[in-house]
Amino acid sequence: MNNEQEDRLEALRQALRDSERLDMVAAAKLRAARARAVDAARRPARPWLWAVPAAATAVLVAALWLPGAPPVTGPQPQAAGTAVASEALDVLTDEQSPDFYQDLELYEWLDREAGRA
Amino acid sequence: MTALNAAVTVDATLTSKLGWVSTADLQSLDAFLASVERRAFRMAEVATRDRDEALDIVQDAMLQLSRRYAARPAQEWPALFYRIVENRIRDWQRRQTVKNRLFFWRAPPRTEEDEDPVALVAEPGAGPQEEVQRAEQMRRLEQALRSLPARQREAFELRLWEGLSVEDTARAMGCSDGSVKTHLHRALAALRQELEGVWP
Repeated sequence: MNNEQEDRLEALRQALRDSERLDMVAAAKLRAARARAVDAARRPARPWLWAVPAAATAVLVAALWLPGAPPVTGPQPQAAGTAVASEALDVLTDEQSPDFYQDLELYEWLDREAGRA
Repeated sequence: MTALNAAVTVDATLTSKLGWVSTADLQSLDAFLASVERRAFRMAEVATRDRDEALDIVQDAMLQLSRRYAARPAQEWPALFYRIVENRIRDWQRRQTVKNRLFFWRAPPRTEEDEDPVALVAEPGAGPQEEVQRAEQMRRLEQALRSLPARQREAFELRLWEGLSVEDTARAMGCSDGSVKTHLHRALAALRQELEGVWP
């Protein structure tokens, strides 16, 4: 590249750099954008941090709601609790007197003896 | 003193590995962005002919650099920053192409005559005739830059306007050093032809 060409390129560069003068509004907007950007660097976004709880929730929801999920087996405390509550309700709503229930074992023995005879 | 230096080195390495940014790095980042924001804005403005779009492009680029690359060594920032800027400009151009095809009946894009190049390059102290001549030169230069293929325009802007090294320009453009030289050579040849008689 000869001197003439270099001078020409230098003139172009200078003209472009001279055109970088901005009005106050544009300069202020750029300053504000820069401040936001630097602030963002202080607290970098880590979108992957949300992936772990999101995946765990998705697995849980899938296990509970997907058709064909294995039925829950084993002891069912709610069912036992329901049976006890139902028995208590029978006693409360029965027309028999409370004394009858106190002597219930005696009546059961009499019943067995009568059956044997 | 040696122990202190070692501690500082370990701290810097850890900080970098964990993606944390020290206060000194934040100050460097602020200084770097301040040094390139106006030039990047003008590059985007020349390409889009729209100040708001140009501002959006530069804002996005600054945010992305800060969020993703603030912990990287400062000497890598120029190439990374201009790579983001040029990608944003190309995205904008693609969107415009699609928009123009879909809404071809709408108002035509602004012409060179809509702009006020005198306001752009007006210099205090310069005579009116000189200002008009300079404005005309700038208008022709911007027009010539816009007419270049994207890769040639990028090579010219990054290498000549911004003054990046060939290596950094290649990094910013995502190509080899040889490609940069080829694009730049073609850009200069095209500009020489376009600006014949306008620039001394």
